[in-house]
Amino acid sequence: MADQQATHAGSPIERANAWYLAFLERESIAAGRPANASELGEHLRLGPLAGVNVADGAPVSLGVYSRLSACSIRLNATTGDTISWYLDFLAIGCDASMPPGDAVELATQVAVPPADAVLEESGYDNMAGRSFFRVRWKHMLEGIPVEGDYIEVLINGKLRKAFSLSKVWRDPRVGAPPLSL
Amino acid sequence: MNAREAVAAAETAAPEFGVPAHYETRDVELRIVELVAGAPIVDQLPPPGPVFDRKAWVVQFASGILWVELTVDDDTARIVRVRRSRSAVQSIEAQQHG
Repeated sequence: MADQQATHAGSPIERANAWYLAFLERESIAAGRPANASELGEHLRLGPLAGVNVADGAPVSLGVYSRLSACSIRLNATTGDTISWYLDFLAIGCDASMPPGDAVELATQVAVPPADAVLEESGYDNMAGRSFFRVRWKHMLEGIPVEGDYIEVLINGKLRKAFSLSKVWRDPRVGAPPLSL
Repeated sequence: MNAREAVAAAETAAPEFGVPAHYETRDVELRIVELVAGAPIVDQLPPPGPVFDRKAWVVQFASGILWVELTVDDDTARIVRVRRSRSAVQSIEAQQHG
């Protein structure tokens, strides 16, 4: 009963997805290679086909999507702002073929650094056998660095794509110290 | 306060905060630092709490790879934060217990 309720929860697409995973689970058991629906759900998911509008009451064509890569995203729990993201599959097969000027331009488009960001370093770097382009900005207010603040973009020169962004940035308000100071 | 005054304030306070006498002044930089209200001054990782920003001079004393940083408030010249490298903590504690 509880399972049936869970199956019918959520949007029509979520219900279709749950039905499909349960179907695969039954089929895998019948084939003698049992697989758990929740495990299958980590790798496969139904979703609307690209370019198809999803309208209320209209039939929707769904496709099966498989997981391409791990993607980690850190969000500020208070503001919802993105602190960092990393796409593993874009980090594979890096080389140093992208001209540095183009890489800095791409990083700037990805990071959209604020006006008080100052380019601190840019260039190719090597880590764990991977050669990637690093662009890093520091935070300067009236010529004074804001400790701990930075924006960093890592680029795969071969693919000409960014695979990582980290942004630690705050809006400091230098004010009167508390009485204890 | 200028850099020289900040270094002088830090060097005066250094013995009080356990900076070994043979550590040399290596670096000084004016920064905007974020401090946790009510947190201990000597703390590697302050506890969660309300934060505030101060303009302060970070003065680094070092011996080889060992370092201690004293942060001097630009307005009050008081020490508002002490940070030490992990190796410096171990070295200083070993001397204190030895």
